Amino acid sequence: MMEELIETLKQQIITTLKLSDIKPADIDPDTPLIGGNLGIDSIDTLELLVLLEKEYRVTVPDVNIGRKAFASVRAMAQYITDNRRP
Amino acid sequence: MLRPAAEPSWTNEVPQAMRRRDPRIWRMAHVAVSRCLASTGERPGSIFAATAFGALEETRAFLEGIFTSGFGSAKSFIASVHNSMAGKLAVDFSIAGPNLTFCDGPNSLASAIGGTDLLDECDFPMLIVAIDEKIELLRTLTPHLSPECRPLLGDAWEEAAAAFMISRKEDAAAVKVQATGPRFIGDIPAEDTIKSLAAEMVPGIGNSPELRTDASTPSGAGLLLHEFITSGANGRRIIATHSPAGRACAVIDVWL
Amino acid sequence: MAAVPIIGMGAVSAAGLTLDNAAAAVYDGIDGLSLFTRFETGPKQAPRCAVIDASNEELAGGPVPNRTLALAICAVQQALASVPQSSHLKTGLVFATTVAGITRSERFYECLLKDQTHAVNAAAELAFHEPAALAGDLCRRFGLHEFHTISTACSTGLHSVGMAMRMIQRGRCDLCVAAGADALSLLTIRGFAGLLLLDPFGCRPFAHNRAGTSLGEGAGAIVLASEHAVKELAASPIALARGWGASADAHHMTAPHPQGAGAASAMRAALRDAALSPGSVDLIVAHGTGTPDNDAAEIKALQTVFGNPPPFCSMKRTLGHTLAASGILDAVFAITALTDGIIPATGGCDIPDPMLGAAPSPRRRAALRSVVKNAFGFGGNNASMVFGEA
Repeated sequence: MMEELIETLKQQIITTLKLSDIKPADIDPDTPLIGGNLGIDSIDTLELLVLLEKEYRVTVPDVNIGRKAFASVRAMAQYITDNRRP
Repeated sequence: MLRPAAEPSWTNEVPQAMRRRDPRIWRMAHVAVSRCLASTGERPGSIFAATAFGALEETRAFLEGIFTSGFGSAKSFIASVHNSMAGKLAVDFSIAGPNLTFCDGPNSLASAIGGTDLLDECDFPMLIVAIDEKIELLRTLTPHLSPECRPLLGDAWEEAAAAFMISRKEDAAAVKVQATGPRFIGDIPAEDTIKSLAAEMVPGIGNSPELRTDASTPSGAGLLLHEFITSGANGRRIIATHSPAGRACAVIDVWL
Repeated sequence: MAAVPIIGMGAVSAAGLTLDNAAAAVYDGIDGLSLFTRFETGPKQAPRCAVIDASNEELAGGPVPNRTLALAICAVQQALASVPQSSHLKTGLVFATTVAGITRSERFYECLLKDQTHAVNAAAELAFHEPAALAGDLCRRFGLHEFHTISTACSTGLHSVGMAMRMIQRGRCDLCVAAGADALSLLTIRGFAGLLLLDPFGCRPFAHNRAGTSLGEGAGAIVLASEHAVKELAASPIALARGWGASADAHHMTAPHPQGAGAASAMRAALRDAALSPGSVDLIVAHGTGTPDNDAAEIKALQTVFGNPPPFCSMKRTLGHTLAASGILDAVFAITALTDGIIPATGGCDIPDPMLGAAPSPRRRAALRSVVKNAFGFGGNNASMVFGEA
């Protein structure tokens, strides 16, 4: 379940951030998103906030929770799993 | 006269990352500043930006997101403050000194040039950037506006980014520039009022061809300034601007 | 450069409709925030904002189509009320705003998208969209002459005071009004929320586990005068504007430089301009928004410039973060604190963050001769000013 979600998220991140030269296989689920090999910065993770709200109906109430939630793709998947409304 | 920006070629002058996701108005400013810095060996210590509308396309995009899908792009919001161009220039070109953005409508360039006079940190040259982007929304808005505001919109102006470096150092060979205003006039500034303000600065200017009153945006004023400087002509040019919205006039005097 | 006398001030904020009414609330660090319900703000719970319970008409003393303008008129009216009229002294203006008329134009754009513009008077909705239009209206109402309109996000209000000081020092005018105003808009509320800059429970500057800032509406105005004008008007200076510093982080578009390098540089420039040593500063009114990054960077900057910082405070819990207005609105109360001899409490700082290495001062009386005010904006734009006793 988690692995499936991670794979879906990878593709959604690529689409949302228009990372045209990255393939899902290039994204390591445990590497930090910000400052990692994808060229993503903190402003890009804010675009992913919209992805979370639109696709998964999960909100992030403040920046402290946000930093943990966007630490890595796996962290995002965990946050969605923990906070998704049924 | 409308002249479309030659986009395919100038976008090669911005860094790869900027080309991918950054607002077009940021890219325009980057190219103008890049070319300006390349033309001189000096590094500026401060940035004075002049813009009438700021990054209006980004404001529009953010609001469209909110009103249609309920979500706005974070990047669009960040870009939508009037000083985002100047802030991005500071980051990209490592200019850590004073950074001010002047929003006086068509008078913004005169306001920015006058603003440089208010700063003491003149050991380093000062970078002035006039920028406005022509977007579809501005054309759409034109029919809805009062006649006094229409010259500001519609087809009567060119979008542009113009960058200049000025210095307090004495240099007989260099072009000189000074500005007055914006000055509140009261009524919507008439041609006569603008001419008398110009005459106050440069006595006898009257109906001289050196007086130009056809710039309706700060970037338009920037283009007239740029044209004079690069023409290599002696003499002077007076660029007088006026703003219906603020009921104000301003004058830029440039001479060799 | 010689210090410039301040002869009038005005403020309108959630803490009070006039400066005098509000000062006590500011010194006590009263919570000025409430749940924002003026319009729908989106799917998350309504944010806590500093809201002014008065109509545009009440603020401006007459109908005014734009809230930002109404706030500005209110503050400028107060500031000029104690300044005698003079027909031959030229008065300039430096006006600061971020939002300007967006409160109306964003609604117009919504109508445009929904194809409902036939029901709306577009000219009226868009008339004050531009910052310059507001500045022009202030010039008309108050007989002002040369002006500049600036917009550098959250640092603008403080830059307007610095620029007004320079206008006097350069002899451009005899008197100069510095004014900053911003209203609450859907654009700014949704924008800040989307950047995860808001604390849903209200800002807690310099506090442990602080989570963001809180927006507010407000306006501040300060009238500066040349020595000649002071004599001619037989005015009594309230305080002196002594120094102005401006810098850019040149680091990142939203996050401040982590070591506060740009902020430190602006403070140093202000102190140099004032010909004052850091040791002479008795109080710092910080930008202190309550975001994890700003407060950490600002403390580092204070430590860089001052070593062991003098007493400091933040007014954001009481006044809200009023964007372009904040630099000048907070400055007005920094000056009243200076003249009243009170170090204000910092509302919302329940448990100071031990990681910062410095905590805001509790409210107390003190002899204050010089105060520093900071304001930092998006794009890493930094402003700092020094005010001194008259």
